[in-house]
Amino acid sequence: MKKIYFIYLLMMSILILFLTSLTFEEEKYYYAFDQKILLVAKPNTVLVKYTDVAQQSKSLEALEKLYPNLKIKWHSPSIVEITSDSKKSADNIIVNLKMNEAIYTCQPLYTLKNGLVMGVTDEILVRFFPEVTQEQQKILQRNFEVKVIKATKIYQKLKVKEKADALEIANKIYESGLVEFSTPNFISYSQINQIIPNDTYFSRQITCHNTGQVIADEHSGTPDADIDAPEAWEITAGNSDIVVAVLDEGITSNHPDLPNTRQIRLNGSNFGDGNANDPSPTGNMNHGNACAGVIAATMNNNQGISGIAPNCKIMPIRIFNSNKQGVIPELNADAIEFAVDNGAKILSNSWSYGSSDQNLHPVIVAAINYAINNNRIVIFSAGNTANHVSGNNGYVAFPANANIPNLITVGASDRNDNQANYSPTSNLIDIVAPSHRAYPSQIAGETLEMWSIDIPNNTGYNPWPSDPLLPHPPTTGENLPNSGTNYLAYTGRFGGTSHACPVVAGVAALMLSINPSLTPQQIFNILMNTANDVGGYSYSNGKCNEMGHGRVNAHLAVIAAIETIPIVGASMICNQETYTIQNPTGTAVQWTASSNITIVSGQGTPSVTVSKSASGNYGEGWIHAGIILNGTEIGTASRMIDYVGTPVATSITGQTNVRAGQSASYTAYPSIIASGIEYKWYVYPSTVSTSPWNNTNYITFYNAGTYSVSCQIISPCGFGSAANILVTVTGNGGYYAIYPNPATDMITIEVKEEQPAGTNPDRKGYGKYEIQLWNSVGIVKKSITDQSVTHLSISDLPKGLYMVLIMNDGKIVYRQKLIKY
Amino acid sequence: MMITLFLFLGGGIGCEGEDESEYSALVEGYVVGSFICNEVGSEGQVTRNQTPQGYCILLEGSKNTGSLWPMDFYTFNLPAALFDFSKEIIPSEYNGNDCGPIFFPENLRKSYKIKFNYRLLKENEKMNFACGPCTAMAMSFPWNAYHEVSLKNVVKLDN
Repeated sequence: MKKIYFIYLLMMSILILFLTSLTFEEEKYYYAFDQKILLVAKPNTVLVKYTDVAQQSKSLEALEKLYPNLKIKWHSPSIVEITSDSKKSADNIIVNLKMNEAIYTCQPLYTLKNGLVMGVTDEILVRFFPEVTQEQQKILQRNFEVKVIKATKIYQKLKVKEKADALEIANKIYESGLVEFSTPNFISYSQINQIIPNDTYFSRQITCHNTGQVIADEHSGTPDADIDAPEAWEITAGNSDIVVAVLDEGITSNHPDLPNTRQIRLNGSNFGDGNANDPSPTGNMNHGNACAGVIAATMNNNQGISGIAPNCKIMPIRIFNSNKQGVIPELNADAIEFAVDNGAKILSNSWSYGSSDQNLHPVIVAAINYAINNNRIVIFSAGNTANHVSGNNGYVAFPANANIPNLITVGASDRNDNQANYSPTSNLIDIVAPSHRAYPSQIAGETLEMWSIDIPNNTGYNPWPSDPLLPHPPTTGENLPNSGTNYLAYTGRFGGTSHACPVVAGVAALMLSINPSLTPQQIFNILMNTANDVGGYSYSNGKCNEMGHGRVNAHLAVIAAIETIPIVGASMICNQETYTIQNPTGTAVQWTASSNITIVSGQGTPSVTVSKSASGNYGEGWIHAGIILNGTEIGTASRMIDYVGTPVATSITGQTNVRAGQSASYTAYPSIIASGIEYKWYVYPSTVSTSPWNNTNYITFYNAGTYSVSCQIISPCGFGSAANILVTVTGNGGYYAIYPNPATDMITIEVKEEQPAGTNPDRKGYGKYEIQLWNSVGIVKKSITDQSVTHLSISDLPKGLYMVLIMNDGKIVYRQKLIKY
Repeated sequence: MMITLFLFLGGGIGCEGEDESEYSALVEGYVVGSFICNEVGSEGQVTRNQTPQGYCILLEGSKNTGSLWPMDFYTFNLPAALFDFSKEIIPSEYNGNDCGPIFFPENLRKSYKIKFNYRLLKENEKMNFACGPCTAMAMSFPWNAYHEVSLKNVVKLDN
């Protein structure tokens, strides 16, 4: 019987162990602020990041020998997704790769429940709470063995050590309580959300969509070394209200891929020779066409190419003469002014001077300033001045090098996400965009390979002209393309930083299509913060001299632009209010709000009606508009509400014990800075002087006693009860007083000494006093007095904070801060 | 072979204080291109002046003969009356696609042959100038890769 019982126990134990192993597979999740989001590991897929890119092909070849049915998908030059035919072999691949020195990280590929890929590699994004000190941050970094590789005003990007689990470390950092958020820097995109246009030569446009396809001359690049245009187009292909001025050699009227309905052709827009009202090119001068096509060639018309912002419009402005000479600087300035004054939002400039002088033509610097000060986005190509294979780093040419805030200077990357050979290395490069790799005279076998539109009817860049100023090869007369509808109206021979500049202009046009109120500074910041740090260069704080802030990413830039879309509505919610957002066409809006706000109606639409929550307390509030595309939230716009309901003063802080004659500062809470808000102060007894300023009040108490200081907040929603603080004032009448405070012209200093008990408290003055006025550097004013009341002029002093000292017999007897305004 | 001797006064006499030994031996070469750009002042801004007509010189047998930019150096003191260049090949203004000089058509690059002594100008002697504007499709002309020279004893050679 005992034996049977023992066998029964043994069997049960084995069963429990088996069930445990089935049931308790480790649950994976990440923290989205305080919310745990479950992650699902794709059972047979692995995401690998290589340390040594040179070793990656060897490593993959070896794997493919072991597992012949592998599917390989590149996410970047160093990140690859490997899918095997079973979970078991995927587990074996992980074990195998973790021993490989060329591998930095290797993880299962995670997704959300809805299938959205959430790939984890070696990076973490965190934001520390403001009160966390640098020292605490360093300790945390040391403890988790992470390095800061980028720090912006919004987040820090951390890199984990080799073979470490970034997801696990991100979660531990969040659980430390020191951060607002901590998540892996997910490789996250929806694999189905792409628009692939039907334009004939789109498959050659690696700038937009690089799959490693052949472009020209049997060249092919690295998959995903592109700007993610198809992903961006899923959100927007641009808005016809956004006009991009192309200041260049002129643009063909009624081009099949850029008809006049998509151009703003204006009288007076030709600053070169010929008819002032016709900005068309002459001869084989196709440069303007090529730039314009990159920005806005028509999409999905079964021919040609697709521009990056194919629904936006082009304003041609001709600034080159028919002999290929550029117009004089004065006319360049006139052309810029013309573009601004006629409504162009973006100025794309693929031209420069042969000089690194930053103020070469002051009139052009002034014109660019005029444009940016009028909220225009100004983009210049950096010039093709380098030849890196010969050790020449080049220079950023004028005007791209001008020292003008928010002027965007564009260098070139190549088909592999490396710096193009001719693109200058300089701290003046802001960002790069794809273009051709090198000139044939620099690297044999390389040539122009970017695609755009061309002058129809046999001139331009197709067939390739005999122009000695253009590179050869290609050979004169070459047709590229040589087939397809209107093939002579297109070219595969564009390049240089001339190509990179309109790429960025096109991305900026998409961003403005999402939010037309974006300022040059916002556009600049978003472009820089969303660019991809590619090429393996040494980026410091997200920037390097080869690539600036990295290669532009249209998809991420558009998503970031979504987060700036204004939610329009009242700054306060007394009872019920309506808020609206102009979300991109084809998207829905998922509204959420703080707990003191209730959504009444309009969920899913661009307009939501909300009310003050019945049980919610007064306070600040927020409303979020999640922009939903194909069931996935692609971005969130936010709106802070200054206050919800009737504001009630909850407390007052300040000194509760004061000597007679002294001043003290009191602050009422909550602090609300909003129009219509007024803080009303009451002091009883009222034998005091007060200087109220919003929710603070400087009060001078002259006499001993107990004072009641209270404050009430008055708002358009009404007013609630007041907060109160009691102040005990001690002393027998002696005091020092300085008033008014804040002051503009004159202050009065009263010295009334505290008297021994039994003496007349009205007796003033005990010899000489020295009054000193200090700023942060030292004494700025001094007065010696034996009077009980002294007036001191401060009208000659600059605005700011001062300290008043009253000295007697070499000792400080009283000090008080003074605000001069 | 007819040789026309032309002594350039400035070059022939030489500048005051110039060290004759800095000049090269007599060499032969070709005038292959020209340019006019804007003078740049000491503050890095263009002045109101254009440069004099500049000329590109290619030495006989130079390795640069077949290159994209077939020149060895440039000068601003080629005697004006030495050749009667046709207006088609000497632009009255400046630039091209690359903010550099305009080279003569290939079939005319051996038409303007000269014999001369030359001296590489020091940094403080060189003219500071900038060309352009130009589009950013072709390579920018690398002015820094070429010396400015002073010529003397320039002799026009007939081919």
